[in-house]
Amino acid sequence: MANQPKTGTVVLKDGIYCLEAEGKLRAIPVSPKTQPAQLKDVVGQKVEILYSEPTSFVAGLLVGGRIPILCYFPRDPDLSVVDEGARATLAKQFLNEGVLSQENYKKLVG
Amino acid sequence: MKPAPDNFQSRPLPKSFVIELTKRCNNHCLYCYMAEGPSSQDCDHDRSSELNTKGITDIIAKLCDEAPVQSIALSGGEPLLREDLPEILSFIQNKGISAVIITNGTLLTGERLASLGTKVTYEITLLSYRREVHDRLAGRRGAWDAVVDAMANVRQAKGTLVAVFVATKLNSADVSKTTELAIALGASGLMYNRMNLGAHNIRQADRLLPTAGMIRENLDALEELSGRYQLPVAASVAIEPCVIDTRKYKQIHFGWCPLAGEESYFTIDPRGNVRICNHSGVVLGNLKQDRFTDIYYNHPYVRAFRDTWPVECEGCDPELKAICCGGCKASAEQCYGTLARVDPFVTISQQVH
Repeated sequence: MANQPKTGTVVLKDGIYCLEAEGKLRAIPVSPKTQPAQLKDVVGQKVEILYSEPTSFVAGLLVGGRIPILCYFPRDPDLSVVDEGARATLAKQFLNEGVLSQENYKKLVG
Repeated sequence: MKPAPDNFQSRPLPKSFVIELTKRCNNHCLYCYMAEGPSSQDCDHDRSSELNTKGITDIIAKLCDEAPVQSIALSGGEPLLREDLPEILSFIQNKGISAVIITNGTLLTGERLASLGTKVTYEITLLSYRREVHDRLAGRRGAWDAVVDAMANVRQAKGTLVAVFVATKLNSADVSKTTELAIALGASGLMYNRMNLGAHNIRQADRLLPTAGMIRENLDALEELSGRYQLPVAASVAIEPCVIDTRKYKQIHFGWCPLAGEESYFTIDPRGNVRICNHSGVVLGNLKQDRFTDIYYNHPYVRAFRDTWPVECEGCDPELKAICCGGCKASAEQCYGTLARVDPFVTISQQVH
């Protein structure tokens, strides 16, 4: 974020919520504080870049004109949670490719 | 020699330990870093020399009396070859200590998982998304199928799973898709360990040790995957920055040798012998008769391990030296018999193959 952009836009790409800023797309860190269900509401909305330095920044995601969600880029590893939708998509892909058995696929997706 | 700071003798005690419950293993991994090489799961000599359940729990209790133990990793060999693993695990957990089981996964059936529970983190090695590649590296057929079953079992039981990828020449091209398979199987993190050399496996270095270029490609891929999937990725075996500049990777956590300090993970083998880490082959004492604090503060090898600097590092950029602390000294000692040589990975990985 060399030029310190002031705003970005939340987009949904290939099932993953991303922040588009300065022409770059970055996956929004999923964490206990930032769940996909919350992000669904802000797709297409402009969000504010609250703070940035060359390798990291903080985005505030706007809902109803306020900033209820803070996202730290790169994400805090202690707060990181892999999106369950992404897991399920990958599991289906590996089932289709014959890597995963039907039995194990059922264990994974319930 | 690097001068030791004055407070070395009063440094805090470590909080994490590795306990190797057995030297026996049911796999025959081509890359196994154990100094003496793997022993058969049926090796009576090794079995009879292992501490029994009380012997192990006595040692854990002794460690807890002497150090502020917060975490214990149960390793091997293959720890699930011990039928008393549930009792040992319960003993640890009843003391409020977090536990990790480092396993090849092949024996983690639904039944074994039920006996161990889900309050422990399972570190399971997944060497490839391709059955034949995993089985070749693990040294036996059927290993991949058992590992995938085990990981799915942990996921179904809502347990915590960390996938371990050991990078070699034979599987480095598989890292991206294997990471995605690990995510599909429920991994909450990935440990990327480049093959570490030891006295036994250095004979396989030419065939197995990944080149610097291979590891760089792997790290580039993992940096992207970690960001895309929010998957924590750690490179636990040192990747010396004179080989690859690790500073450019922002998503990957790189581990460095803690040099026998507070962050170290002293390792206790199945007989009670203490080593400075799981890769070192040097025995410093035995907890059946020795106090851990005596070894930690007074054993001359501990200070030598911290203070001896590889001769190859003398002209190195101080900033890089500060990052890597001389690389994996235990690997150098296993392969060359001295702490004063650099980790053989540094020299071998940069050769053109």
